Amino acid sequence: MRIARPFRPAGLALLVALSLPLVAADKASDKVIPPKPPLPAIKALRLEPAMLALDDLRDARKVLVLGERTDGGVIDLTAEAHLTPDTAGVTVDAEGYVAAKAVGASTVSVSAAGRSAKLPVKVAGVSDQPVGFVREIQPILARTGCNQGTCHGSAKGKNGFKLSLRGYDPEYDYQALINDLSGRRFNRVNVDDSLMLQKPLGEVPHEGRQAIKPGSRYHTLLRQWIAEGARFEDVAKARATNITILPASVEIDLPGRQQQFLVLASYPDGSTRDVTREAILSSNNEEVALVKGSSLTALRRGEMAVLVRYEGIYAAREVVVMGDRTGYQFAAMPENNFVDKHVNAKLQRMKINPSGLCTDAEFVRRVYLDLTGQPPTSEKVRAFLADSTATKTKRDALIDELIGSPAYAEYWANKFADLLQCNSENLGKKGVWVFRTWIQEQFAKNRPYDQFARDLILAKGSTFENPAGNYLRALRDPGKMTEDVSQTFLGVRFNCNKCHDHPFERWTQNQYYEFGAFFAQVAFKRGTLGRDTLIRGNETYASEQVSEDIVYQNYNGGEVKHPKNDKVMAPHVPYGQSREIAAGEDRRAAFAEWMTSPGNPYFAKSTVNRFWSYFFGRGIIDPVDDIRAGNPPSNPALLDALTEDFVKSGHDVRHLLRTLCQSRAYQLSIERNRWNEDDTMNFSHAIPRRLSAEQMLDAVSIATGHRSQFKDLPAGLRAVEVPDGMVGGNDFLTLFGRPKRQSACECERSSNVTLSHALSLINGPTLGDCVGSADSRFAKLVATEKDDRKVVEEVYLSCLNRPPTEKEITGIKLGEGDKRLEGAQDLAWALLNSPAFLFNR
Amino acid sequence: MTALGADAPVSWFKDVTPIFKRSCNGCHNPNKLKGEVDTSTYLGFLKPGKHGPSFVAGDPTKSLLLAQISGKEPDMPKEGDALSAAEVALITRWIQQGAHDDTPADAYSTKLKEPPTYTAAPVITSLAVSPDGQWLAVSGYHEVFLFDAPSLTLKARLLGESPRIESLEFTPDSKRLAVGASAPARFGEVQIWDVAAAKETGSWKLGSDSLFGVSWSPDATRLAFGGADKSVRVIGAMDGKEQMKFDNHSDWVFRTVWATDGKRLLSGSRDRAVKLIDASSGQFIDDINKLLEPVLSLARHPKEEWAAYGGAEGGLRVYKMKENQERTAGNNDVNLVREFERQPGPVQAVAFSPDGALLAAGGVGGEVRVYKTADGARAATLGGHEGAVFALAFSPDGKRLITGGFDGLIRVFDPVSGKVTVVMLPVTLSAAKQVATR
Repeated sequence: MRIARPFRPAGLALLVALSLPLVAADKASDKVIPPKPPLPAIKALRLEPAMLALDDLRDARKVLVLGERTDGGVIDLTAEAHLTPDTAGVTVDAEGYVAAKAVGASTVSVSAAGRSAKLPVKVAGVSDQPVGFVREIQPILARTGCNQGTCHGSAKGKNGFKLSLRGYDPEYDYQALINDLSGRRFNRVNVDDSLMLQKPLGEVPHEGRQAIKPGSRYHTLLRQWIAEGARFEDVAKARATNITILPASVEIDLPGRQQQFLVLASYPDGSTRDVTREAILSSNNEEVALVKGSSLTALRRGEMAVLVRYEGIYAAREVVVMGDRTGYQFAAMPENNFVDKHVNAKLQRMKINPSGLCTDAEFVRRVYLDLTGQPPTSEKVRAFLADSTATKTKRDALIDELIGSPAYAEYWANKFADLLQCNSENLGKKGVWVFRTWIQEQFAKNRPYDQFARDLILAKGSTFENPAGNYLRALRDPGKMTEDVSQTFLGVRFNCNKCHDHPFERWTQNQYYEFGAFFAQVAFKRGTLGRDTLIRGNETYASEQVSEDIVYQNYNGGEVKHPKNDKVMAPHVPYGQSREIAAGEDRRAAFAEWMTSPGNPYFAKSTVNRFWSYFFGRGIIDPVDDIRAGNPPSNPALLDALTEDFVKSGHDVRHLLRTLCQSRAYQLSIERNRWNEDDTMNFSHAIPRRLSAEQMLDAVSIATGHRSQFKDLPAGLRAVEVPDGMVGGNDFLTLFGRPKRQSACECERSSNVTLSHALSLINGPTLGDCVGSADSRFAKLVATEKDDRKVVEEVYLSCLNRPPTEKEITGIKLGEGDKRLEGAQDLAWALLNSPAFLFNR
Repeated sequence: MTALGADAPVSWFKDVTPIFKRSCNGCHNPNKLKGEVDTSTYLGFLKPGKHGPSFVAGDPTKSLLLAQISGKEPDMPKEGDALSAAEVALITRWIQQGAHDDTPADAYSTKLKEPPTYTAAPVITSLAVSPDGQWLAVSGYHEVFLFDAPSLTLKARLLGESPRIESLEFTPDSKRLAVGASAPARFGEVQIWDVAAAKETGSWKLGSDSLFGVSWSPDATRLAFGGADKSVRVIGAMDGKEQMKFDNHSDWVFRTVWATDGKRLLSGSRDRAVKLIDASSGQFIDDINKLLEPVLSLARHPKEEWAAYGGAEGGLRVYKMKENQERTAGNNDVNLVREFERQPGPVQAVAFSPDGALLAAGGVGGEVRVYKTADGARAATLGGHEGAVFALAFSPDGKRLITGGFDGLIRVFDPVSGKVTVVMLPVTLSAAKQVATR
């Protein structure tokens, strides 16, 4: 009957809604660079750094020339500044680099925008130091792209020449240049004959084209290094330990403006170098600003970060492009708790004003979905709307009622069953039941989160009797344990560094295997419980799928070896310090203590950030499981305060969720105002979120009063109670992005909206069956309720959790007699196809 | 680029080739030949590409090149910045003026008129001792140093065209020396020298990159070698004519050795295989080994039909030189005679002692380790090298083991005691030139 239904515009609301953001994205990707705004009046110049100290002949440095505006604020004038040395002791080249010529004190005159300043330069030495491979050659290989992933840094190298990816392994690279093929690539007898010069200069055919210009600084340095004997250095002394980005803070007034950056590297001996030209700078948001070389151009109002990498060190500088905010006046939202204080502070800084409070109807739907995974029934909505208690009081009471309810535990167990990879391929059919049940119990009794994590990491014995053991059982080997434990409990991605140092973070390949060493002795053996015999074709065999596993500590061995040299790796945590492991002790104990200790800067922080994202549609750090320097928090003070509060509460998840839900920020409307219409990351308004697959199916059940049946599972189960990620026979859940639970990544669950989703809702059997079933709410309603107004009201309350407006009531005609039921069903079907149903808003 | 008036003559060599080097030659060179166009030399550029001639002398409007590089969004270069308007104008004028070739006759020659002077010791890539014990050949730059082996006095400098010497081998009668050489990324070369006369009797340039691992057939009529083009070739020793070409390797081939009967040949490659080949037909017989790591060095046992190879991951193994047909799922490495301890770094050189009792291996680890072939026990460790070892050679009496490598020093060891008896440079160094700075 549904299929024969004529085409209806209401069903297409979703399609229309879908097409809008696509158009907007296309427009934004044009990247038209706005014209340079006129220079404002400048009262004085400021130099950063304020003075230079040069140690040797190659220690060339640059300064930022900043203009202090008469109306406050600072503007970058580096590109238009003129620098003239006052003495013969220093030189200034065309790029503005100041270099030493004679020992002593000098000055450089700086002028820009009609103002001038003096730059003191102290020259401590003018010796020509030998060129260092690690310090000077490796950065050239990175900057020119020799060792990037598409060239010689790829796993197989290029044309027989392989370098470590982005130069993480200087020793390997040195061997490749010097010893590989019996010294083919360098020639100290006739330096210019060296293949490592001839290739990048284009003197002989080079697929990577002319990577280095003849006569350039890089050419000269490479040449000098070979001529000096192609020496290697002590890596520990020569490799930079830290980088500093200048300027220290950047707020740009208008699109079209530029900002120059400087990057200084520091070394173990305390010395520093200006490595701006070799550092690699990029924009983390090319909609807001472009970065070319070491210069940024603002495109539009917004926030972004300039990411800097230099020789395995990663740092970021946050940049605000304010844009024209003439007429702005801060209107703070009332502060329900400390969350609002920090959100307000950020909004004020960004010149944003928050939206108003959402309505009670919006709130009751939102908080039900977020805490229990299902919308309220029409009775609950009616009762809440009718309650005349003060808004905040009754909202807080509802939050308290929902937190800890059975539906709460069911919902959060489902969420964590995803992250803990509860699927029958890993755990067998019984395994998924016992594991999911165990997870649900933890939420039902509000097990402190640190203890919950420790239970999972430290589990031993039968996976039937101690279901927590199913976590490590699902991960199986130390490599996957390393990657998934770090991503799930620390929000850190430890997988790139399996094969090489992490290309976007400081994590090294060694750390991967040192981390894995904590799990090296976790062993599994088949238990005797639940062994089953399966018959497939003519063969009978013992099924490995359904029996228990025993998790045990293999004291007799089990080590992780570094793939490069087969060296046994001792367990070491990647940051901080874990306690000593006693002889014969399970290594996991020291690890779990370290991981969950209040001092661990990632554990509690990544946890509160992850929960935050479930309620606000976006993490304070986002994606939530990719914490790194290049992915900074949008509101660090807020994240720190939440972290501290969570640790202080004893890792109390209910306390955290209550704090989030009670905040004003959570209860804001999705309606935007003039001052927050472009905000996407500061939580000044609610973000509409598509219901998850399970939320949607459970919401359809509540709306229609008809539950879908899942294959091989008891009747009456909520979608969030399905224990197995591999559940078959329900295309609806799969289509709407329910994960198979094979990954620790939040991204395994999809929440996108595509044409196939729209078509499934318009024409698919799941929605059609629920709306049209004989036992549905609508059949009963039409049979007992003779007043059409009340029928319409009930359908609205069931589907959208709000009463209809007067206009809606009068505009809807259900029809007469037999047509009345069909009319009510049509109405429900249309409402269930509307964005108001599909999104949590 | 020189500043030019509107009608000043444009030089192909001085003005145009630097632009091509920067923007074109990466793809349009004899190895890649994208669009069947070669921009790296005038002669190459003269040949029409897939879409016809690249230029018509005197007629810019009919020159495909200009259509490709000019305009608002030029088709070429595919990567990197477009040519500047001035550069396009320059090339246009060169074509207008007749597109003359003014490449100097010696522009691509690497020949030296006289032996080089050295301010730094050349890396020793190869060493060979003649079977009669009289000669020691040591690689230099553009030349081979020929020593009287017993006294270690320099007798001759064999100056050839190629700057880089890759491999050296004497004929069994010690009268001739084969030199595998190259100008990396330009060409490979095989040279034959009459040792007593110190005279080059033949030289053949092949391909566009290095040749490796030259070896004489037992009857000294043929030479085998591998190459960066992944091939194994056999050429006649008198005429240099190709007699066999084998293309079954999937990566560079570094070493060749002949079976004692001269009918079969082994080749070792970065593709991890040691392949047994019919030397006359070029037919592939079998991989004798399990493919574990790139093969860098290869040596035949003097008596048994065995070969030792050293790998890029430090492996050192001895294999039977025969088909691998008996392999099973349980044992897929049936020819393995012995696996030795893992070496500290890639193994660049292996050599059996003349009686076959000892096997020496050296490489990036910097030390040479001598093993008893019979049981794999380490007999001696030869240290002192500053950096990697690239070459090893036993004297025919087995009493001396000569090594060379990164530090450019010839070292003579007693392979049994491990004591070093001689450390010397092959050539006298002149005072170092001032190193260029900045």
